[in-house]
Amino acid sequence: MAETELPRGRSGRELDFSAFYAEHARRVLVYLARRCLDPDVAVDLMAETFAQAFANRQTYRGTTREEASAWVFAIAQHQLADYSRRGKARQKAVRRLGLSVPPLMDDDSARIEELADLGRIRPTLAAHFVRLSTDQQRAVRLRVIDEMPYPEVARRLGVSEHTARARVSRGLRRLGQSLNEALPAEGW
Amino acid sequence: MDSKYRSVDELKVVGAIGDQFRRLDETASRPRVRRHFVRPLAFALVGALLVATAAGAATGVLTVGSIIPGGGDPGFEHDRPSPEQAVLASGTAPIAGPWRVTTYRSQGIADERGDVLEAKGLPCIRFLLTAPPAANPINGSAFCLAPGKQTFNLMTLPVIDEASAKKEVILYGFAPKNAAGVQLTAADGTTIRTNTEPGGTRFPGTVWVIAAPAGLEAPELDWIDASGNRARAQLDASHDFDELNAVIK
Repeated sequence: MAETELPRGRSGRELDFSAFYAEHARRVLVYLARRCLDPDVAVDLMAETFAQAFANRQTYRGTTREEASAWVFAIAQHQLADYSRRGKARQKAVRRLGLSVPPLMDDDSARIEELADLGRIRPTLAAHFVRLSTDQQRAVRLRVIDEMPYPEVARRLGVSEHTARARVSRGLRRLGQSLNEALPAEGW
Repeated sequence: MDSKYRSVDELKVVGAIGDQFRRLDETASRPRVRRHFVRPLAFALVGALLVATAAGAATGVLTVGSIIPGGGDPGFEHDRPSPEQAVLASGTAPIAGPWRVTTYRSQGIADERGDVLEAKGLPCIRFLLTAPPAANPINGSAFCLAPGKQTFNLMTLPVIDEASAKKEVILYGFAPKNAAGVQLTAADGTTIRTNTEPGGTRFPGTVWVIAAPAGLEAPELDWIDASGNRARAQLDASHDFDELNAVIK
């Protein structure tokens, strides 16, 4: 693919962030929705991804659209990994910038599901879920589906909180790897 | 482009967040002194940002090793009692005037959801101008050494003396225990070197302060050991200088 020059702001050095957002927000949102399977969470992660990009735009040194794309998707991947570990989307940069993430309306939610092809992905995920170890399945179900805090997950599993976190993390990582193999390339 | 993506503009949430970024972008591009100074500081923090806006908030000369008792420093973190601080270094900058660096333990900051933004008990350093030029926008800041984070770090404080229209940039931070000095090197060959001050029993490293003239191009910082060897741990301070240069011509 031929590399194209990145739009720059008034100073000629930094990113034209509005153009950058307009160009990438949708793809990042779909990318995140395909991996967290939840449009609400995907929007939170997308907002945090761009908030972090905005906060760090002065240090960004890329010059092409392709580099910018790789940069923002790397931030998105980091947000996903963090979400997998913590079980909730971090909103640090969003809060620091004073951004407000509006609640997701039903039509938006349905459209994100459609764009992310979640109807097809969920059965795929279910098929991979049953391939996890029983311990991991239970841990992921309690933490992700039942949204229990880790101490409660640990209590129900009869293990330490550290072990509960490790089981959830490993389970989600395996599911993520399975999804990555099953999903089409994102084209960035 | 995939036709599936064309109609996604109908997503109100994407547009609503985009509008906010556009406003932020516009505000950030506006040449207003205070805004330009607050933004880079706010984004660069590892830990808490402390801004003492009241000139003369901390008066009196305190020698290195002095202890400022808890609650004894008005203007510190605004709405909370100040923790006990120990003076690690002090000096006088050509334009910013007298300054001091203190160390303290973080008190812990959580957001409204209970997420910990800064853990309690981290070793932190605070830089404060004790008699700043009138109308200088920011007279102090602080940050903490988070576990696992780099031990050589940098904060900057732009200083303007409106009366004389002179400006400079204060750079300060922490460095490893074995750092004997810190050196700034700019693109034009300008070098400024300062000795580090030991953190003693209260801070696990050394601290340093450099007062540099504004207008330096692409300044980088590195720490130097007792034998004069550079650590090659370059920190890029060009953005901070660019901000200042963009605001005041």
